[in-house]
Amino acid sequence: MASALGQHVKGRWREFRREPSALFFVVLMPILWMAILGFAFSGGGKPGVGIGLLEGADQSELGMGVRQRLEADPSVRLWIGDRDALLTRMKRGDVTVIIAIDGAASGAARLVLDPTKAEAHAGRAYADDVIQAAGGRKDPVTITDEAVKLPGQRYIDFLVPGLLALSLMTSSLFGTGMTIVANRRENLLKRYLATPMQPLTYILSHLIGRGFILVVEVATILIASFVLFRFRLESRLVDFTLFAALGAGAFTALALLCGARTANMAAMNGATNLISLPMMIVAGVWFSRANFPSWIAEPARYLPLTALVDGLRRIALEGGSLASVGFEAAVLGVYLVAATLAAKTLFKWY
Amino acid sequence: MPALEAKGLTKRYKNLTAVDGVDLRVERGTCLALLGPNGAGKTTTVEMLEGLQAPDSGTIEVCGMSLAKERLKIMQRVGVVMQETNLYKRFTVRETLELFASFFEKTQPVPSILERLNLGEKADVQLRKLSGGQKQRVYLGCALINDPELLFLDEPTTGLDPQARRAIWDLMAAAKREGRSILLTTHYMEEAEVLADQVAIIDHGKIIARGTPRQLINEIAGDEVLWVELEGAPGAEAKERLAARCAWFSAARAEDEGFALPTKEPAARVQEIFAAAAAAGLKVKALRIRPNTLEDVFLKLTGRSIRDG
Repeated sequence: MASALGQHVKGRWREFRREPSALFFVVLMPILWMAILGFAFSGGGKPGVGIGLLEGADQSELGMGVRQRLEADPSVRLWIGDRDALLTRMKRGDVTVIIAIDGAASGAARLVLDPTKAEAHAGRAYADDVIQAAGGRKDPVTITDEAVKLPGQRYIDFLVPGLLALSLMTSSLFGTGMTIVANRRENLLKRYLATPMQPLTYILSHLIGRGFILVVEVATILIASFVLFRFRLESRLVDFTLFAALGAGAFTALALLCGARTANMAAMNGATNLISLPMMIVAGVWFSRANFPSWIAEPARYLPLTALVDGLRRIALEGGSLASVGFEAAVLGVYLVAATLAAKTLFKWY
Repeated sequence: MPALEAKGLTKRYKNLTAVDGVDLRVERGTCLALLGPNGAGKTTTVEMLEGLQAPDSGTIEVCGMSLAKERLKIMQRVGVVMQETNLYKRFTVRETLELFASFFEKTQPVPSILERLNLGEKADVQLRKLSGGQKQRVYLGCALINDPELLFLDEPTTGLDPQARRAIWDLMAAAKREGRSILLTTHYMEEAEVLADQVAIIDHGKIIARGTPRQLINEIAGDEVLWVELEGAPGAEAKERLAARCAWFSAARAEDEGFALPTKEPAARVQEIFAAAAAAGLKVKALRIRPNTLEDVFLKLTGRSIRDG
């Protein structure tokens, strides 16, 4: 019954187009996130380093030299104060290392730092360099920096595929799941059962309709990220879109599974949040998963959102083809098939 | 061959037998009204007939086909209006009808349905902007879109104002004139009296009476109802004093300000009442004779009003 499927798919599209909240979540929210995070983390120039200098350093020649050098470097955020004040700054994250130079004993300096903090080591190396130079060190080799800009290395480049994955997850889980639960609650599914329409038609319309919405989502994010940040795909659009479609399919299947029985919107909302919130944290949408301990990062690879984020990133940033994301595609494929089968078994029309 | 024949339908839930051995038959081109209070088993029965619930026992044949074996074929030929359904509220009337049309092999053209439902002007309005009566007409349109032989209408006018109810009745009457058969459930007696050729009264999952509305009224409730309001003593005492002089009055029941009682000989009873009242020191303040209704039938059969549930 092809015409029934066609009408249903048209219906899915109408629901999306005529529901103001759908448009907000699918189109405006990802752009908003992108703009906020993209501009917040793309501050120009070198990343600054916070250095504390203990009061009274300029009583010695070494201290004077250090202070002048620190003040001359625009990338340094310099704080001068007593020990307690500087330790408070360190606690707040303003200062990574405190330089203490005693006026009397020239030729000696002390660095106060918390060695468990990663950024303290960069601060220490910087402070060491400044102090040695002020102390009269002669560098045997002249080094000049050559700045290069690799495509796909900015934070925004990292963020865009993650945001698309997130958008696909939320729109599939909430869009499809909530629609089904609402339709069941309002006896619409029951009404359909009293027609010769095959129930599968209704399910298929959700999967296909999701495909149309997916095109809007992909286009929204790619166009907005290009306009705002000159983001470019390093690979073919078709690979990127196909992989996104696989991800949307997996999440739609999960939504069908969550919404297989309940007519209770609150229960559905809870189930959806239970699935999506932990994944938002561990999947590495916002920041690299490398920061997580391996007992979280490793199992997280098997989560659908992680697979979608990783795959989209590899395709978008490293120019990978579909073949390069075999593992991620397999993970998503398993969720798609398993959730579809489970939903089919559990599904209740009313 | 009847449009619908069900035999021995039974449905049990845990410790409740919702439907208990129900037999129903809808002849072609006629309307059978299934009457009963809320919770009597009407909707469960209809859902079994529509194939939405499987009966624990019993057989159902629609248009000569077994529902258990040929449900999809049967569904091509029936139309359904369910209780408390909400179709997509952001679809227009036309889109809704087109969607339902796509489910069936044989359909009536959408414009002709729109015209018949008197919804031509609303064709491109979204459902969320329609009144209850207009929406119900759309739902009836969805039931008629496949030119069905049999219509299942489950409480089609519940919650509508009298005018909207009349409009639905007109549409149902028109469907019947076109030769369609109707199974109607309702707890509005008037609806059954207006539309039904046959009535089956269901209570506690069992059919407790069946026949034409006239038959049921004549045979069960008596021909007419005599209603009298007395003056001179408080209600219960007035009835007692009158019943002491004419014994049949003890069967009267309180209704509004007075007492009602079915009778086959209203003229004779009226004379007796006046005589007895005068003797008992009472005065007849008002008196009416009205035809019996199905309401009276139900009351007589079950001892309670259908609206009490």
